[in-house]
Amino acid sequence: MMLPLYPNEFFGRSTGMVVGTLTGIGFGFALERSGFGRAPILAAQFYGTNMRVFKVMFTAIATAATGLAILAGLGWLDLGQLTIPETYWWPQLTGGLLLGVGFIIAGYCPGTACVAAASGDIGGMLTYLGVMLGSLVFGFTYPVFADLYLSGKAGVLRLDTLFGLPYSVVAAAVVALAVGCFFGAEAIERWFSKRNQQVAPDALMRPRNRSFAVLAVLALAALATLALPQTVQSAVARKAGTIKVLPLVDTALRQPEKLWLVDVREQKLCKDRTLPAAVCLSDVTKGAAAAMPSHQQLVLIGGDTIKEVPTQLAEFAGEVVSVQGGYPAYAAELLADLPAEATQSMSPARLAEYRLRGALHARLTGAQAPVAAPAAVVPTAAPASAAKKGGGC
Amino acid sequence: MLPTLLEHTSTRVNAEIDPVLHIWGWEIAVYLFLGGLVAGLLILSSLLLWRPRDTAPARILQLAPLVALVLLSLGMGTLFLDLAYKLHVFRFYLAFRPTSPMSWGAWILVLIYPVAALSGLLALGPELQGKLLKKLPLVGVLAWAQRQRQVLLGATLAGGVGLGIYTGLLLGTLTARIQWNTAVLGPLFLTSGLSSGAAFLLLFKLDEADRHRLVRWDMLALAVEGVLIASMVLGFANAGAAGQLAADALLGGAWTASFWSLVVVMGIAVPLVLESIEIKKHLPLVAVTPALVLLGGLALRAVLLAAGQDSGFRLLP
Amino acid sequence: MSDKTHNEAPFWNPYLAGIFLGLVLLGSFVVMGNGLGGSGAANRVAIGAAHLVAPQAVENSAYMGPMVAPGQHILDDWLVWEVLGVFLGGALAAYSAGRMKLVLLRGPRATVLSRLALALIGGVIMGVAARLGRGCTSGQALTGGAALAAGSWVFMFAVFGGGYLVAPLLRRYWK
Repeated sequence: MMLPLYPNEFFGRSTGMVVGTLTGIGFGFALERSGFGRAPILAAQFYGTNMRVFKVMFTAIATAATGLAILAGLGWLDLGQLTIPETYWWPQLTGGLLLGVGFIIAGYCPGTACVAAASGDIGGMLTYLGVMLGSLVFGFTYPVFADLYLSGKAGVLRLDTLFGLPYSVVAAAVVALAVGCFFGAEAIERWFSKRNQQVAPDALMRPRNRSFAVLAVLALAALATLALPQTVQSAVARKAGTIKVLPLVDTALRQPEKLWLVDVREQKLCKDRTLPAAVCLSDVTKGAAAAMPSHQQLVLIGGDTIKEVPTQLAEFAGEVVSVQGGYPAYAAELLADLPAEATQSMSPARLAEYRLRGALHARLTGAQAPVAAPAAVVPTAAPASAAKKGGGC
Repeated sequence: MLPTLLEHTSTRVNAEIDPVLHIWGWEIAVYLFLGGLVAGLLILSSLLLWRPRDTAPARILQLAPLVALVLLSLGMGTLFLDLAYKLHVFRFYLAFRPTSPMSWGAWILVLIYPVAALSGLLALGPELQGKLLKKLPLVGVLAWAQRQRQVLLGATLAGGVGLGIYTGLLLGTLTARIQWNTAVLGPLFLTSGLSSGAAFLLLFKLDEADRHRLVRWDMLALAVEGVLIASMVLGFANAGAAGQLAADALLGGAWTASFWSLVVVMGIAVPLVLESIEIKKHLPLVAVTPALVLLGGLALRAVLLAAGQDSGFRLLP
Repeated sequence: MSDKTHNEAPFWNPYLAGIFLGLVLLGSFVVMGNGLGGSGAANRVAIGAAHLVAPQAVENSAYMGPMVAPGQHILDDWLVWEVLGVFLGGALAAYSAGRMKLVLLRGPRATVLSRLALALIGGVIMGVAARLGRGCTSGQALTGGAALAAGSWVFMFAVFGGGYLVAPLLRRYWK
């Protein structure tokens, strides 16, 4: 299983950002050509005269869902490595209702507002500005929403696990549901157009029937993968992502409840010295992995970066990461003596890292934080304004 | 890292220079951008006004050399902001060092002012010239400038080319910063300046023929820019260990996202596609295209400036 | 659409557009392991701006504070680049279809002022809603819907529900 590419380290984070820009171009192009850069078209969805929003969205969902089912069924893609929105029943229900209200008032949703702004609609620009302001309203009044925001948590919950059905069956059912709804949507459109004495939109049958045929083929292909031997999926061990030493130890000291640290090295090495709050793999009882809450992160500490999750821990439901470089990296980064460096010449990111390392080192070893790191010396403004020695040109 | 080596490293570690250079902030990026833009404006306006016209060109073309001077002054203002010893600025003009690009730059900047001001006078249409002559006693100057038209426009053109190349060479000669250790920077900043200049003019109302010409020149400049960037990256990738490090920063390293997304995709590829659609479909120009070109030009300077200051031979293993 | 001029390219057939959009989404999943988004970038840009104006207030917020913690940049996020792409892709599509024009699209009976006000108000409501629901139509309904996330399906039906609930009140404004 080599898909998805990025979590399997085919390329780095920064390259992934470029992929983001290119993906966005495809997304924006699709939205504009769908007619989603025009508020009156989007609003028509809610008056029954033009169900474009519903048709485009549901077709896209059905296509992507069956595509994922086929790739996973063939054993090429690991569904477990996809970043899937976690389920929080109540905030998602209320947030959805509220977003629908905002949608009909503004005529856009956030993504389509961006496309509308790009094509020159002032309403789209204002809507996106409003979304920014609204985000801040939420951020600054977060305590009001906090209880609701965190309620009804069910973790990563997929419909296939909820119903106890294979992924591809649910994806095929989505296609069937979608096509059924499309006939209904078209009937509604015809009814409203007749009442308003207008022509029903998109009455072209050929592209529609071809699209339905594509969806049907995708659904059948997804179901066909069920016939493939499924051993491919279970035989492959779970893969673990990586985490760097500094952010890990920082979290381990500040929010230990978020992590479950397991040292998977030999028992002797682990008993000798390990990270604070880490347990040795030999001490993990049978069934403990399955019982741990899934919102915790399982952190593996090895002699080096661990790529695959040990079988004793494979039943853990949450995210698994391993310490980059393992215990030796931890010892080298935080237990060895820290050299003093000239802090005023560092970029803010490096300075922050340096100070964090100093603080953690001091806490873990009892040593003094390095002399060069007092907070008072650190300029809070951009580094350009700090002690400048003449420039150029 | 070893204590025994501390003495050795302390002689190498200079505050402000190691581990990363920190002496140039946003002021220099803006200055380099404005310098390139001004160079482009001077070159393009000299070319467009080379042949005397029967009818006065669009207002922005008449004013282009003078607008360029205003922008150049703005740029020098940001440069001045960057100087630590502001009163010492005169010292640039006490000497000329042919091996120093800063010295070249200081003198080019000074020489451009009179030349561009005179071509600015020439560029003005009869209406604006009349207004100006009523306020200032410039009749004699204008008559002299009209006699020397070709010479003045040629000198403006040359000044623009010099300015455009110099903004790149300024970084290019600092070979200790491996990200700048490439001869491509001079021509790259010059072509980027040309496309910025064309984009700036395209933001304003122009005659159909001038607009068409500028769009085509802009496309050419953007395409050449793409080729130069490709050769720069390939050059880095095929150079020694230092070049590898410079290539890594742009191919998967810290500056990959901003370089490819902002400079290449937003600043070059998308405007090129928009302009070719414009020519092919005879669509009206929208401000989005030139705006993207200008933003891309600014991003090019900012990213290369920051990436260069982040890079150094000290990072080599 | 009365403002359609003769050289404006028609919109795609909705089903074909849906398949194209689905393939973009699938590509995002296959390459990056995550789907698309629309409101995350707005959140980050807004927090970044607020952090410049009132750093203390933002850092003290339980929700925003962790996003501006030292060692990271608020704009250094996949969604920010992706939305930059959405803008560029939208511009490319609109321009090549002959639809790029500075306008204020509104219902036939809506006034300029009411359109401006409602666009902003609707945006603010959606900004709150998108944070509360951990995503918008793109990040939840589309992405989560395709990945068969249970909560995202609830979100999607809630969006249509909310819209249909309030739409009759705004009939005069859109029709």
